Amino acid sequence: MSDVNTNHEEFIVFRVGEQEFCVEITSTREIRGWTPSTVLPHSPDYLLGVINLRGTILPIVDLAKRLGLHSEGPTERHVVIVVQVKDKMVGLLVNSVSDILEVKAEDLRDVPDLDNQASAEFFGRVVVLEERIICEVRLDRLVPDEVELAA
Amino acid sequence: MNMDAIKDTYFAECGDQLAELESGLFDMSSGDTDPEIINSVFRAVHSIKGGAGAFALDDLVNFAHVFENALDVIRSDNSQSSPERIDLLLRCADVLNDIVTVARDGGDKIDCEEITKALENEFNLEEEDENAEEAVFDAVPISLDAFDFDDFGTPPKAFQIAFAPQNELYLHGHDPQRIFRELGELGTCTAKADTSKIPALDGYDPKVTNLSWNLTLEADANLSDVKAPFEWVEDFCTLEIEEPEEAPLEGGDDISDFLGGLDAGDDVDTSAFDDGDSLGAPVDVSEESEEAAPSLEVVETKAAPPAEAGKERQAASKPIRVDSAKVDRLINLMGEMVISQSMLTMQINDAGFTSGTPAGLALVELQNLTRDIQSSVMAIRAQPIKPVFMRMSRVVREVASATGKKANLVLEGESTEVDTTVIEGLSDPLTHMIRNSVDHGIESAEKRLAAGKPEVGEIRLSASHSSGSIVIEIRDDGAGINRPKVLEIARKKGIVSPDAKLSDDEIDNLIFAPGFSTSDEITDVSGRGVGMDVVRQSIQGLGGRVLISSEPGKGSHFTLHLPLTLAILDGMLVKTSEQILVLPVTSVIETIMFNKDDVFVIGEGNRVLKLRGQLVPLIDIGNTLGFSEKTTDWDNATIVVVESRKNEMSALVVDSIVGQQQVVIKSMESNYKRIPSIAAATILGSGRIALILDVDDIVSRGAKEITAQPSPKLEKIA
Repeated sequence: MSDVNTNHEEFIVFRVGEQEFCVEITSTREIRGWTPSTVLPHSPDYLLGVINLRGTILPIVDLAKRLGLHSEGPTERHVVIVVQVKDKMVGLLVNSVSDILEVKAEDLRDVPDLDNQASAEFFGRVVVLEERIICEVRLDRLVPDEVELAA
Repeated sequence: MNMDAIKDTYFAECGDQLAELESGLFDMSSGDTDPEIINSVFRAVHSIKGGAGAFALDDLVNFAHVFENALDVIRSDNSQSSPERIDLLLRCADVLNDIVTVARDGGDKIDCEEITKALENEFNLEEEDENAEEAVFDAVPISLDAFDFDDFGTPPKAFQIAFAPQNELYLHGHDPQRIFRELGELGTCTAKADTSKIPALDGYDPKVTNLSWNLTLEADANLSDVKAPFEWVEDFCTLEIEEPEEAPLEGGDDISDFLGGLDAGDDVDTSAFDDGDSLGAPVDVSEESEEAAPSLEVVETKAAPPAEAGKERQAASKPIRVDSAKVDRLINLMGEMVISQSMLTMQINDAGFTSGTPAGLALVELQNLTRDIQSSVMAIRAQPIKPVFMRMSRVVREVASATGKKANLVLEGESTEVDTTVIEGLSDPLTHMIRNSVDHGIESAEKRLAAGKPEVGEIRLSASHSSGSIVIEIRDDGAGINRPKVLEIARKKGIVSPDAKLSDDEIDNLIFAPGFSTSDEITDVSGRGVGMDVVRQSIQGLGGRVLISSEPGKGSHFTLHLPLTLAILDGMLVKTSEQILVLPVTSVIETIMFNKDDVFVIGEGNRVLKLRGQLVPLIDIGNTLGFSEKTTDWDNATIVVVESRKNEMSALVVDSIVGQQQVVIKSMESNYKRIPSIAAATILGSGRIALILDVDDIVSRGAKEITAQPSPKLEKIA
């Protein structure tokens, strides 16, 4: 079977709108369909609310909105990628999951300097393949920080 | 069970013993002279020492030994007790606690030389201690000739003791030599080993004890003195003590006769102990013989309290040690069961089974059962708050001595039962608050006397249950909060703007502001500026609230309100803007239909409800939380009147009331963050998530945050 090589990293590739992004497969917990969420008050617009993931409260981030892309809003066809960010879990609403990639270290680059502020903030590394370029989403930047101290 | 596991068990038991020790000493310091208390204190130290010996924790053994000797002085004569001595003993308990902690977790060796010296001086122990150290360990028989007949008005008596240890004695880490040495301290003790039961080598089992001893003790002692060294092993041996005939009191004439008798006793001849010589067989020993059987169980189950604790403990129901993670799992499953049950209820109701039908009846039965199981499971986690409170007495002692102040801690309601998670989370904030009370609250002795107060400050720590929550109060009779100073500091640190006008209450609450510290200089004890804001955060993390009130010159009063349990809540489900929200039933006062005649507008569109002559702010929940842009259809609305823990009321406007049910509290913070006005979330029977409202937060934000424009209909009122 596949040779265990530390020079390889695996990524899950998904589609948001017309673009492809990826996250490390090790931080992915599961992929599930979209279910209606409970809206949270006083929350940013990219946060669609929370859903019940077998007894835990899972916040859902509309990745398109978060990345500043055009968002179609959740539909039955959307899927949720459940990822672990440090000790928290969060669901990412994406259009579809397209691929699982095994990437060699030499195909991974740092993100180039971009004019776009959002890109610099949210993208970690770039997977450069022959026919496509896929940005890795920095999970730790997606969810708002800890406690914003209440007045 | 490997060695580490046994050691873990030992340290867990040490924790219990230390708690008992401290609690006993605390009772003694408040004037209780019940001999059972000093006995329990003594037992605690002794058990710690015994176990420590088994693990070769020398520091612990040595200190516990001195400690034990000191306690023995009071145990044998209660009039030896004095407040100073008990205070010293309490400090020793603290040191013992530290040594145990170091033994368990590693760390710097505790320097206990000073306190050992203090202990020896206070209780005149030195001589005794030297004896113990000089005693020869491996010589059997032991003969200690520290005996001088001239010193005694009465001649010594010769006790004949037949002592046959059972395996359990060794398994519990006891050592016959030590017992013999203790006997030697009473008088002249001669021990002869009976080796007749030792089998030939081919049948020899090294794990079975075959040795027994016949001892002769010449001492001017009564039976209970002689029995004392055996106190901890009497369940694990066959023991027979033959008391000599009352020796003639007058003169010393009969000594030689007496000694003659002793010679006879030295013989291997065991005829004196008729049936006591069959080794291992439990013969009638003393009144404790019935206890021998249960003690075997103790060894096997390893779940019972330490056998040394004595027969009273054994008679009580046996507590079991359970990993708290297992209980947590049970609680979680319980929560899931409550959710499944409400799903089932929904399905059955939807299917048209009313409560009169067999299905409906079975469901009611199930609900009752669930409720019973739930309260039983909750009861497993409920623990008296006492251990945490006891720790606070140490904090007071340490801080008082570090700051040179005098303070006394008075505990009330320490048997109040609280969920363990609450107890665990309470320790740190409480420690901080108590520290602050002593360090900042209580004045120095001179200042107190000058102010006409008793020299010794008093800190009163109390716990009680009050309408579905636990109330913990910390009251000191110190100087109270120095409001001008607090305000000055807050301004200097930019916590409030220089021209802000603050009420007394608001100034008091400034001490909870992040980065606030009243102390001019940073002390060892408190005053690092991370104090009270951390306290407030931890209490809020437990779902609680901190309130403060203070009177200059009279003292400060902190009140903590904590939930009874962190897991399940009786909730009222309400609907607004298509969202289902949960209100804790405990905070709901009443529900009324909306009637526009009762609603008035005050100022810039702040609506209030006139409720039996009282004006209550009206809050449109759907609008306040941002669920709906426009104001709810007020004419068909329902009003839920809620009350915060500060006894402030608000009237919440909702579309309708859905029902009432128990809900499992799910933290929002675990995967997201705290949201203003929302306490937590829960999962409904449908699987959907509903938010649990933080009534206190909503009420306190109250009228301030209502920004919605008054509807035209209402404007004309007022």
